[in-house]
Amino acid sequence: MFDMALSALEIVFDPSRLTFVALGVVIGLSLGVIPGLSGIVGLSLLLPFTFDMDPFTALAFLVGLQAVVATSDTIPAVLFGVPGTVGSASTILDGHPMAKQGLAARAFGAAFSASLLGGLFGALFLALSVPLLRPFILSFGSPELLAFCVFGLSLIGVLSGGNPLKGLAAASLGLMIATVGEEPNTAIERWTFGSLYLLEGIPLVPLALGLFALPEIADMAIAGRTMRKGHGVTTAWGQLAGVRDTLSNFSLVVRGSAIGSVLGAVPGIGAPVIPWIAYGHAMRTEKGAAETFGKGDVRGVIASESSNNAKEGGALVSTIAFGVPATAAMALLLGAFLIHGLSPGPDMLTSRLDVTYTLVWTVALANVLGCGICFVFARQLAGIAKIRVGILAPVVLSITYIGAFQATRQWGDVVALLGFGLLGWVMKRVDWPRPPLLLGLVLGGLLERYMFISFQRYGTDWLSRPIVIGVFLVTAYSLLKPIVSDLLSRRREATNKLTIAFKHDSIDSAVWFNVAVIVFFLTAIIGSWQWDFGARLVPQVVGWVGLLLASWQLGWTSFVTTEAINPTGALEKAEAETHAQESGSDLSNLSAEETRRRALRYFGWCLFILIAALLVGLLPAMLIFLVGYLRIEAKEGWKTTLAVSLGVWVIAYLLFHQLLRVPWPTSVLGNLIPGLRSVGFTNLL
Amino acid sequence: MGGVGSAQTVEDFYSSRTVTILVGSGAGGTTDISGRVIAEHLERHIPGSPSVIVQNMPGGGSVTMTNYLARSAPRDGSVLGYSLPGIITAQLLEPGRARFDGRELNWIGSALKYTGIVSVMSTAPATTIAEAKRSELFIGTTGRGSPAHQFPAMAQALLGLQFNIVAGYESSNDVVLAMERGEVHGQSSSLQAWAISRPNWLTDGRIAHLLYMGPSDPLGLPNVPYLRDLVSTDRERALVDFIEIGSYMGWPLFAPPGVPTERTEALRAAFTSLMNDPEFAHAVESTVKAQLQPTVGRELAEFVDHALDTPDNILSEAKTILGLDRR
Repeated sequence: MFDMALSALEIVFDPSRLTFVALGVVIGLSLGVIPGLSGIVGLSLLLPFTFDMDPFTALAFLVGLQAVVATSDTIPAVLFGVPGTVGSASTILDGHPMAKQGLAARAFGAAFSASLLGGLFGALFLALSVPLLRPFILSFGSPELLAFCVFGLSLIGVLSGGNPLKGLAAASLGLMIATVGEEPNTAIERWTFGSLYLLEGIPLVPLALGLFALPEIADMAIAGRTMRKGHGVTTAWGQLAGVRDTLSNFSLVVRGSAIGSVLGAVPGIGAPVIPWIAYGHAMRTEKGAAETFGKGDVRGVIASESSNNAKEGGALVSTIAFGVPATAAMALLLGAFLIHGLSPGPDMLTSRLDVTYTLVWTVALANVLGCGICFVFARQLAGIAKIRVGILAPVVLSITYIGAFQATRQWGDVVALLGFGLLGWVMKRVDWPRPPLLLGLVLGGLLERYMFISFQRYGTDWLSRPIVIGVFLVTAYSLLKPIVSDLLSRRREATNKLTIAFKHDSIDSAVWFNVAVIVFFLTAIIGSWQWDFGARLVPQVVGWVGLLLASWQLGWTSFVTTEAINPTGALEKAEAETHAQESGSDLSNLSAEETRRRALRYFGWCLFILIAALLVGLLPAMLIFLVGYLRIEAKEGWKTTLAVSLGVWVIAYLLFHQLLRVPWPTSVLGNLIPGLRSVGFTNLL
Repeated sequence: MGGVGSAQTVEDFYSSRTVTILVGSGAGGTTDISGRVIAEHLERHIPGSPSVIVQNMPGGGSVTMTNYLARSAPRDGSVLGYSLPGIITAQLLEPGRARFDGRELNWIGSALKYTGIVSVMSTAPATTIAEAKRSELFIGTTGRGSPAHQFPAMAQALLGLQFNIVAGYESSNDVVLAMERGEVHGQSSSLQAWAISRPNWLTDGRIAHLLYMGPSDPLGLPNVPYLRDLVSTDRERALVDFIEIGSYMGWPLFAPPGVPTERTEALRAAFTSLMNDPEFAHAVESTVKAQLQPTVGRELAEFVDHALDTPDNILSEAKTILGLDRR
């Protein structure tokens, strides 16, 4: 086996293959930086170019690409709060606040080094575990996967930013959104309103970009400046400080990597959940994490990033050993295996061990290269944040639109982006946590699937399986602990001084949002009332739970007045913290009136892109928007306006239209003059 | 464009174009890979040798892609569709969703057919049709919309089998894994799919085949009962006809409605010549482990017309059996 590993090393370091690994790494990094584009796009684009390569070169090229997407997706997450891929959504929670505090360089240093170590750990895991993994994966049936999903849901408590009630209600929103689409057992279409787009469910990419990216750009545009003072200090020293952070939290890196690679190897858990589990784990186990996580704690970045890169090595395991791809990107890689005449399965551990070890070395090498490149260029990239907000906001916004559109390449993606963008912005303003909603969506579909399979196959017997019991015990502990301590702290307040009376002054936008959430759940309960049992069960349960939670929250804010006599009382402390957070946001110096006015203008522009896109196509709409926003909103001169708009647009045109050959849905103009769609240059209308 | 198009020869047109094949499935499966192999080899058979590229447009069992092709794609022969076998069945079962008419699409041809086969682990409580009428078998599927669900559901209804169909798996590979760990006993798949996912199971006796349906498989299936042989009435045979529509169509390549006739004909000729290209046959064999079973464009168009004439009473009975009557 050792000989095999060495000869595989020789294969990888062959100069021509090395060139392709490096090329793959560069492409992978570029895809990770652009929101909405992930390794899947790159793999499907490059797959045909590998037909004529030898299998080693082809796989090294593709695996090199995929291995580093999770390294560079940190960059927009930290700088703008915009996830580069869905995998970096949890990096935002601490990475973006660090950037706002002027610590972008340190966040980068920590993220890149954690990514590197995670990636290497994943490669090591792949190398060591391939022979041992068969029994491990076979012990994970649907009941065990169900238990894991329930465990994933228990993380909501820690992702709720100190308000479990709102967090659970937000998660219920996510779970309800996850029920959109065709239910496999009954073939009943749930909330699809006859739309083919909704039949497959709400895709993750527009939802994640909507919830996190649009509100962040909104605040940037509303505040009229990018970040607080000092954000530009991206020095090599700053990055080294981040590396030191990673090294001094080495045990966290190891745990994050272990979570990433082990869960990455289990088909059915799903790549987007993994960094959240690592983040939740860190939050629960690290000292003082409950107070500092979410406010720029570097350990949050380290946990997410190490697991995010480690999962790639893990995901290769089940692809190689079983031919069962654990993630969407791996499904494509499986295609590449078959095209090159390699059959995943036991062969890969015996007669084709050379291929397996080539992959191990490639993952390791790609991570080293990717991390190195990011380190060198981080300073230039961070410089982007210094660009005037009037220029930066529209550019990032238009890229986000095109990125979201890559999810399914239908108009629905753009509508979903805008809808969830509004929802995300409102939630941000009224202080409802958004991560639980995303987690609810990610887990909702899996939870329902494994629940039905478990009950149909095993009745209730599945509850007695050992792994299920173990996971449920861990879940119960982590779920009950924060709730109990929260109740205890509230009770302590209550014994101090509690008044129950309607508070007239409590009616603000937060209350209106709360009411809207209640109405949403009520509508969902009524709407799903008539469905067959199989289709109705989850929406009904989630609906009632969500209704209860949201009503409780409303009652608490509208009727209960607590006054802590004890000045160190927990509630008062919590309130002070929320207040501090609010004033720490970028909009503190604006009046509510002005904020609302600017927000209306911003979302007006967002709507403008959508309408213009429907009329003349998405890419042309992007150009019109850029010129319009830069001239009218940012009041830039014609020279700057045209230089920026055309520059960005030409790159987007070449990338999406010429290189990726995106099939654009028809616009009104394209329908009026169908001939335009027959010409290569104009078939984007 | 029509005027310009007719002034141009087919070769002139294609020599300056890139032809895009829209594949109506996600990346990585048999549909995607066979589509890519066709794209790679079709290039040299089209006059003017355009480069042919593949785009994935998954969703709704290829209905999303076919809707796009029929309604939005350029009608000049530069964009083609490649769908899952069930695309015409989708038009029959879900007329509201399928916003295309199979009679109007320009069928170029199909290279492979699909023989459905219900296989169970040898350790399952029943490994023959007779036993499956008495003992319960758990059959894993992705969902009611898929052929892997519809085959066993139809066989169950026609033959009175004790299938307990467990729907909701992510993919057919996940069902294989579920079989391996004993969560379900079997699934409906194809020999070709088994040859990719678990080639050794086909030879070492780990799985037993209950029955098959669709065209007889070139890989050979000695002694496995054939669904059509097991039914007797006209009504039952009509239901078998219905369930086998997708099997006989296989994975079709087609152009949008309204493509100039000379280009459609050139594409059909290119496809026919591709089917006689030994290099292509070898590529199909080595990637998706299948033997060519070609249907050329004209045959495919006739078959589609015939399939779309399925009588209403058979259609509504099939919907009831497949559990698709309530939507």
